[in-house]
Amino acid sequence: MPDDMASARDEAERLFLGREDVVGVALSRRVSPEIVVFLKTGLPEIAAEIRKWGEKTGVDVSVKVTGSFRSAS
Amino acid sequence: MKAILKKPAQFELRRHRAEELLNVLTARFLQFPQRAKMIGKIVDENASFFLPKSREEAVPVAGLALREAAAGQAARITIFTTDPNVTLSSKLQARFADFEVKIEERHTGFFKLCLQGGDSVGYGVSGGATGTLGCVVKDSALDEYALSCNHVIANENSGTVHQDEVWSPGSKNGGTNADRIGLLNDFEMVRLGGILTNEMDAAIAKLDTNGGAVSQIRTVGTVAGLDSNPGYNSRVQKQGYRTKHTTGELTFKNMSLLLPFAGGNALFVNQYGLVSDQMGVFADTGDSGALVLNMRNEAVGLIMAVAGTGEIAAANPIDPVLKRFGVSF
Repeated sequence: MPDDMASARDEAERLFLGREDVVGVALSRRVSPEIVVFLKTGLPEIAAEIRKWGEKTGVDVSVKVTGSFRSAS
Repeated sequence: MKAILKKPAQFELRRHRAEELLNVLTARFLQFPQRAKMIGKIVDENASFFLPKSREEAVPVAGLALREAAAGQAARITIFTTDPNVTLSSKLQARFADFEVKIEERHTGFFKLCLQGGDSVGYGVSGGATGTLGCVVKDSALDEYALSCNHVIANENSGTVHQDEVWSPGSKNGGTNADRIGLLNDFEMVRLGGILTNEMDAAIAKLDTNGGAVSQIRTVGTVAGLDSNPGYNSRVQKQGYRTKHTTGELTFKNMSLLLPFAGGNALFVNQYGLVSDQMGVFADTGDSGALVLNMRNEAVGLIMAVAGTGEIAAANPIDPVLKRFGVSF
C-alpha cells in the first residue's frame, strides 16, 4: 500500500468522518489499493461529494452502505 | 492354593456388585426415567425409591464414580453432590445393603466444562452485557485472566475493578451469580465524543482459580502465537458464542469507525474490517470479545462491532491489546 494512499485515507477521514451519514473510513486492496467510505444509508449528496473528491485528487475511492456500526454484544 | 484363588474371585465379585449398583444409582440420579426402564427388575424391587421421584428431585447429585481407596481394596461408590447439606450415603447404604458395597459422598457442586475461548461471558449482574470470552491469557506471574471487550465485561467504562463479577455464561445466556468466574481486573477506558481516538475496546477479568481454565479456543484449538501485521485479504477465523466458528477475509485495514456507546459516539481508529467468505456473517451480536486468528491459529484481533448490514465485523488489532494489559497466550 503506497504511503500516499495512507495519507489520502487520513485526508478522507478528516474531510468526511462525522459528516451526516458517514460512519467509517478504511483502506482496502480487493483488486488495487482504494479508500472505502462507509455510509449509514447511502445519502446521494455525500456519496457524490466523496466520488468528486476522489476524481479531484486522483485517488481510487468507493462508498459502501453498511448501516451504523454497533457493538457486537 | 484354593485360598489364593478364592480371594481374587471375591474381589472380582465385589467389583461386579459395585459396578451393578453404580448403574442403578446412575439411573436413579442422572438418567431417570429413561435408563431406569432398562433395569426394570431393580426398579420394580425398589419402586418407592425410584418411582415417586421426579427428574428435578434428583438434582443434588452431580456425578457418581467407582473408587478403590487403596490398591487391592474393594471398590466403593463415590457420589458427587451439589448440595453440602444433602446426605445420601447412609440411606443408600441401608437400602442397597444386599450389594455389600460401601457408599461415600463428596460435595463437588455441579461439574462445568473447562473455560475456553469462544464461551459466553458477561458483566456479572442480572441482564448484564453478554459476549464472548476471547481467550484465557496469562501475565508474567502466570496468573490467568479472561480477555474480552470493555463493553462486555466492564459495563462500558462503568465497571469497578477488583469488585465487579464476571460470569460465564453471561446473564443473557442464562448465567447467574453461581457462574462467577472471576472479578473485573482492568479495562481500557473508551473515550467518548467522537473526537478523541480509541484503539481498543478491551478488558480482562482475573479468574478465581488458576489452572481451572484452558488457554484454547473451542473448535480452533491452541493459539499458536501472534500475527501483528496480517496482509490484506488474508483468511481469518473466529469462534464466537453467537455465530460459533466462521471464516472470512481481512478486507479492510486502517479502518476508522464511529461506534455508539451509552454515553455517546466513540471514534475507533486502526481497526480491522472482516468479511465472511461463507454464506452468512463473520460475526454478530453476542460475538464481541471473540479472538480473530489467521488460518495458522495466530491471533490477529478481538471482535468489537458489526456493521448494521452485518456485512463487516470490526476487530481491534490484538498486539496493542496484549501489551496494554501485560498478558500473553
